[in-house]
Amino acid sequence: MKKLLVISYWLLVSSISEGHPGIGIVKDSKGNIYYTDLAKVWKISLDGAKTALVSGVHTHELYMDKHDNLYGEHLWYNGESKNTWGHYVWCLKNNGELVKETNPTEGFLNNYSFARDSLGNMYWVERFTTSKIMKKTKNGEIIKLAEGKFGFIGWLTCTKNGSLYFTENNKLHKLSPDGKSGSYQMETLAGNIGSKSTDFSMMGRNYDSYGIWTDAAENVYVAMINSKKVIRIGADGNPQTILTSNSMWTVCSGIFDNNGNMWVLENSVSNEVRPRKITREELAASTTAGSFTTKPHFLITIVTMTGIVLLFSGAKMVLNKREQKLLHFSI
Amino acid sequence: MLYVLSFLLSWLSGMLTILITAFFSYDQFSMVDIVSFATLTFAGFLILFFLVYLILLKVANNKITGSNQFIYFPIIFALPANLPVYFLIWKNMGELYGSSEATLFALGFLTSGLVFGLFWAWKNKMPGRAKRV
Repeated sequence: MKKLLVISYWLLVSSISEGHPGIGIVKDSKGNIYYTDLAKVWKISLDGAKTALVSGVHTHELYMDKHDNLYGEHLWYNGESKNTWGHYVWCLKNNGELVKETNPTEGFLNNYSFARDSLGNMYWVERFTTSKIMKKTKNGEIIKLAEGKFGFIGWLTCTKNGSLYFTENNKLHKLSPDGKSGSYQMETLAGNIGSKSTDFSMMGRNYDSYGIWTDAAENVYVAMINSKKVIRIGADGNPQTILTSNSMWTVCSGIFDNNGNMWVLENSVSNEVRPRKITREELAASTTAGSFTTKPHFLITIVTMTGIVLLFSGAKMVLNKREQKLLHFSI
Repeated sequence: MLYVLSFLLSWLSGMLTILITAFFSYDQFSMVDIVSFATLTFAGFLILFFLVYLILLKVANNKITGSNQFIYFPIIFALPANLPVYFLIWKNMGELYGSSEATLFALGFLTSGLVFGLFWAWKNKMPGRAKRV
């Protein structure tokens, strides 16, 4: 029954349905920005020029190493008859050469990740009843960092020094090396970052948080895909809204460039992707005031009120006409 | 014509209640939410209108007359006429949607019933001048 409702629901609202947006937005050492729109990878140069760098690649994530080599994947579906997926990892070298890092393989990425620290160690989540957070060192050794019966774990983000940030339902956790024994310690930075949303908005997923990124001072920023906003988690664990998207777009991920400007990757209701630059001045003066009127909720409420007034006036007109006819007939 | 107008007026009033209540209930009421509530209440109210409201209106018009209509019509359409809907909302709560969405649905239908009852009581009162003449 629930399946039936989900199917009919998606048919009804297919025109505004949301896909599974990407979070891939990275920068190189010069400060150029790269992002994925799930079909191409784009570069925004320092002068603002936008060019398509890699075409025909469906990648949700990107990684830029310290030598400015860009990594991504290509994921594809083999059709309903086979019902299988395939993938390979590609690398756009800093000299412009595009090479396949891994051969085309059936299934999804395994023991490989784009969440890496400055040493090139990879980190990923294995989501099962008991979920694990794994690390693959540069020499290929795979280590289990944490294990537990977590709720839904979202995207994993890794800082240069190897600190990992991830959300579990509406909690934000940090997993960081203790610096001595090589073991990792987990702490919960924020206990409740979720917004109050309807079951319709949350249908098919049980999370609101999406991409996570940090600034130079290691403040944590989380894109709240459902409530269309970016929150910053302060030292006290309280989420502060620093940016809101308008009705047709939602922030999926972000990054800070070399000048302290924040670039956010936004996804539209029709699955278009755009980067948006928020300068450090705008960010410093960020206020969410005025965002209320940009919400479709407010506008539709006004339209509904107007509709009611018009319908009532229409009904009154119809009844008056009838009364006039009756009066005329009576006289 | 008046049936269509009364249907649309009642449904829109229900939607307005949902929209206004949502301002206080949720941090974000997105397009997906609005389209979902609008579609489901429209379809539900359409079925209810043809299967229950029209029949009940015919009976109530004959049995209740005068100013009593302003009291009894809204009560009849908001409560007994909506009973099947209230039952379905309650039955599917938890499985298809949460309690807060169920409350919004119930409030929407309650308002639609009230407006429909008041509309027809008002309509029956309107051509009084012609009758007096």
